[in-house]
Amino acid sequence: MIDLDDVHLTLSSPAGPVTILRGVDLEVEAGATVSVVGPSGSGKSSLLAIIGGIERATSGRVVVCGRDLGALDEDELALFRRRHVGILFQAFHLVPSMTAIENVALPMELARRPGATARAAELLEEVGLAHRLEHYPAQLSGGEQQRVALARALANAPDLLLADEPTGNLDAETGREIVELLFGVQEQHGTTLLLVTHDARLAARCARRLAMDAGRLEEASPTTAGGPSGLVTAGGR
Amino acid sequence: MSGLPIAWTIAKRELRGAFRPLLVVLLALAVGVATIATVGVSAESVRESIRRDARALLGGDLELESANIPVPAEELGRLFGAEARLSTTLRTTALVTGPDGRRLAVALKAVDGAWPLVGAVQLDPPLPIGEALAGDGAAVEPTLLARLGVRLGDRLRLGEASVTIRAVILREPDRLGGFAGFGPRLLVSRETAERAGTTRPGALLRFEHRAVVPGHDVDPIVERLRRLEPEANWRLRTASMVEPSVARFSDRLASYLTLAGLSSLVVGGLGIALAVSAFLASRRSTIAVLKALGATSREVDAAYATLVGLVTVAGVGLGLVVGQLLPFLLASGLGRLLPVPIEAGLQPRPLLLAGATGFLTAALFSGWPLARAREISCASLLRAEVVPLSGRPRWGRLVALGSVAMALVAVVVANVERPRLGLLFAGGAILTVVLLAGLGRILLGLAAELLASAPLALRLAARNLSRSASGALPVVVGLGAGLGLLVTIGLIEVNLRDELEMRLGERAPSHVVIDIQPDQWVPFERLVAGTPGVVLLQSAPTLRARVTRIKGEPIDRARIAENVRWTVDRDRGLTWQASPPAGTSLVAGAWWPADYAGPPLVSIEAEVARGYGVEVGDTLSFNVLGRAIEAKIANIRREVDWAAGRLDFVFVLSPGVIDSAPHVRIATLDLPDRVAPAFLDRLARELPNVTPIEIGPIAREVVATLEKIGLAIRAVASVTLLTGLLVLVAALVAARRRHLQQTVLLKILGAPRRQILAVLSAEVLVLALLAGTVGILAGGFAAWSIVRFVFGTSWTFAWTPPLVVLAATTALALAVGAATAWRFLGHSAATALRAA
Repeated sequence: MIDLDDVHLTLSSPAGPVTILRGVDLEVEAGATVSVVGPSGSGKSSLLAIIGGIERATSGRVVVCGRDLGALDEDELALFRRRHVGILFQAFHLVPSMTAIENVALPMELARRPGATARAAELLEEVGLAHRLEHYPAQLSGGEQQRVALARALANAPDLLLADEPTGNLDAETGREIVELLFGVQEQHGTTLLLVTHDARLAARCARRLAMDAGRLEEASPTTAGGPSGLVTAGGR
Repeated sequence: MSGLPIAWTIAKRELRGAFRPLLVVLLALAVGVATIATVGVSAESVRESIRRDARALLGGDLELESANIPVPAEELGRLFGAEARLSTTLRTTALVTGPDGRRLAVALKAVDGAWPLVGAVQLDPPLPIGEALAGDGAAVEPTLLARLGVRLGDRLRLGEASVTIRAVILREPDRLGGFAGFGPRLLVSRETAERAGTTRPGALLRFEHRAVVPGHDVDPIVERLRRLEPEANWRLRTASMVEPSVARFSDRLASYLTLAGLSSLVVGGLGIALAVSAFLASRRSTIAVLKALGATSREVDAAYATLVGLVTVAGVGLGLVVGQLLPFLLASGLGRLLPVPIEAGLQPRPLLLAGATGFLTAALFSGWPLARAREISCASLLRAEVVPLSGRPRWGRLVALGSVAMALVAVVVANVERPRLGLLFAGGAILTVVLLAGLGRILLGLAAELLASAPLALRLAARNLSRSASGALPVVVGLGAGLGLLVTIGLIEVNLRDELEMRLGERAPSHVVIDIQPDQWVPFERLVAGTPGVVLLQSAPTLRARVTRIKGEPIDRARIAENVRWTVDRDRGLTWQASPPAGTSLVAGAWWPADYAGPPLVSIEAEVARGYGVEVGDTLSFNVLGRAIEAKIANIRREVDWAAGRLDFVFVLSPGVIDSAPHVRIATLDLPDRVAPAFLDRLARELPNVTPIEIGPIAREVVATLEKIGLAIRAVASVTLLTGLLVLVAALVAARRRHLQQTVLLKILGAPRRQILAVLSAEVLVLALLAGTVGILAGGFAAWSIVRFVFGTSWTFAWTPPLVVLAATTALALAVGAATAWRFLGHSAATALRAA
């Protein structure tokens, strides 16, 4: 599902170039649940962005769902995300001018899938928001917004679900609810889940745990052989 | 386009939150398009009304105009055909005296019983024209009553006769030719005019012979008359010639008004760019989310282009509706200014042009920010700060924007009567924006330097404004352009008025005396000499003649520049002199010897020589009372300064050519107020047909007309200022987030509301003052260039127009700024913090 080989990321800034990732290797098989923990600024979110085709690696090879992302242009990357990837952000990133149902229908409409609105209603029902279909993001609580975002991330039945601090902006109780929902739908759909978090307890819910520190990725704990994580290798050069 | 349905879906949903931020786009387009459409629809309605009433304006199907002597009745019968209905009217300038001795030069029109052949005269009381003019009856324009202090039923002295005012003229057909007279209209019968002695030989008379032919089938007659015309002593006019000649003035005025409207659209364009840019910057996160969800750049581009397109359609649509409806309200006012009633109607062409201009302006100015928005990467989701759009669009998009700009120039050219004017405007507009932007940048830098140690509010304002993304530059350019236009107009008006008043006061004669018969010249001179204080400034013999050939080419085939065409359109005054008039300066050739008695020579004014493409040695032919005279150009004189109030002629012939033809003398007098009544009394008694015309009221009429035109131009130019203010609003909307953050920070740091208001207002104040400085500098320079090089008169800088414009704009800008700031101040620090 994911195959990273010696991935580097350096961004330019007014103060000069900043190195974010320093030779990341990672292999993840389909259906796995993987968490990445690490301090702020360690490069966790950037790793997620590279896997989702949101950010381009400065060097190294990035193969996701069998596609070499380095060979795709911006629009091909967009089409790749449309078909294969669902993303859950810490800040929800719902479109403020669209209602809950419109936000969820949007990825399906972009993919020209028929019955987008009906399917969006089903997904919102799945995340417990059947009564909030016509509400705008500003009219929803943080937890509700993240549920909408989760429904939207699942809309095109992605092969890979990327979650960037999905509970970071939520209180503990709401965060727990979202986590239950996230793992519930992952299990139900068999989606590969890559989760970036500060929260050690949340990370522990994943079969495989990785740690990111100063742009290098390391295995956080051994995995059970033959378990659902499907880990092969992870390391930083 | 495959992305259209999803683009439409996204645009429709995004529109919910876009209306307010893009309101400036809608208003700027609506105002600009409404202005251009109003001018275009009004001009087209005027043109259509003139076309519709062309026969009434001419007063018949055909007209032959002759100077000084009428075409005999039997010849008219031969020329027009036996079955034509005919009418002859006579026009001249005459002097009338009221019951209390007040005198007034009037535009006299003497009509026969057949007048009017076409159309109807409207009188108050509504008498039939025959009844009103019967016996010694006369009808007058309302202004005559006021200026002579007379009423219906009063009697006026006209030459050697008396007339009784029976009616006031409300509308007069064939008023078209009436511009040639001085003073208000006095309408009498031909018999009355004969009795008054106004038709004696040599007087400056204009005869108009009109005809209505059976079935209005004029073509064969026109063809025949055209063949005879070059050698005849009359000029032919047909109804089809009326429209271009009347429309020329209204088209020219419409062109200038359209350009003023276009200026407002260009300035509005800056507001559009600013508003669209700020809106898209606020949507950076949404665009990134769309891309993260799998939207391609093309789909994003199509979605936001559709959104801006929807707002554009609303703005242009609103502008077109206003532009079509407003002329209905203006029609009655226009009808009072023009010789025909104006009927406003649906005018597709000007609406189409105004709409196209609006769409292309929106496409050009929103194209750049839209092109940059499509390049927003979804990686920006990882970086939380809101930053303005930046970077250069792709080459393909730049080429597309270039094509839109060229299409806009083409539509601008199609909008105005003369393509050169449109091209000049387009070039000028680009140059002006570049120059104003340069000037604005310098001033913004200077302000930041100068205010570096000023009080906190001003210091913060200067620092905020000098940031590259502050939006200050478009405001300074947009508002500065609007202000500059008004300053230009104000300063030109002041200078022209000063010039006229100075010339009238110092150099110009107080009276021009016309129609002095040759045998009256000696008594006239004696009269002047016998009245202490009266000074005879100039005099010259004159008669009416017409240019028929230039270098041997008939004038309908000769190439004549537009600006001198008036010299061949009808009969013009001609004089002859043995020696050069005082102050004459020759640019080519030499004056003829004082005792010259050879073949005819002519002296011609330089501008007309250029317009005819003639040089010394070339020939000009004149028709003088039916006699053809060919004269060789002996010299070319410097351009006549008509504003100097001197007697001057375009053509001066050598003596011995036409001296024996019936002619009159005209003279200019300096007639001080204290001696004027006595002198004019004696003149009226001893030489009753001689008409003195006071220059002052005529000059005042000219100034009043200029002011009326100035008012129209100022009204349209004010629209540019309005759109300039919209640019300011767009900048304030764009800076809303920054202002909110600043307000929160100041509130948390303990600044009271008054202090925060001062900080926010200082930014607007500095902006308005910078824009004002740009406007005054640019407007002053433009006015100086026009006054010195176009009008060629002296220049004085007047502070009143710029200061009034600047004060009004600053006050308006502060009001707009305070209204925006007040909304932030109303919230508590906590609410503001959450909103930020």
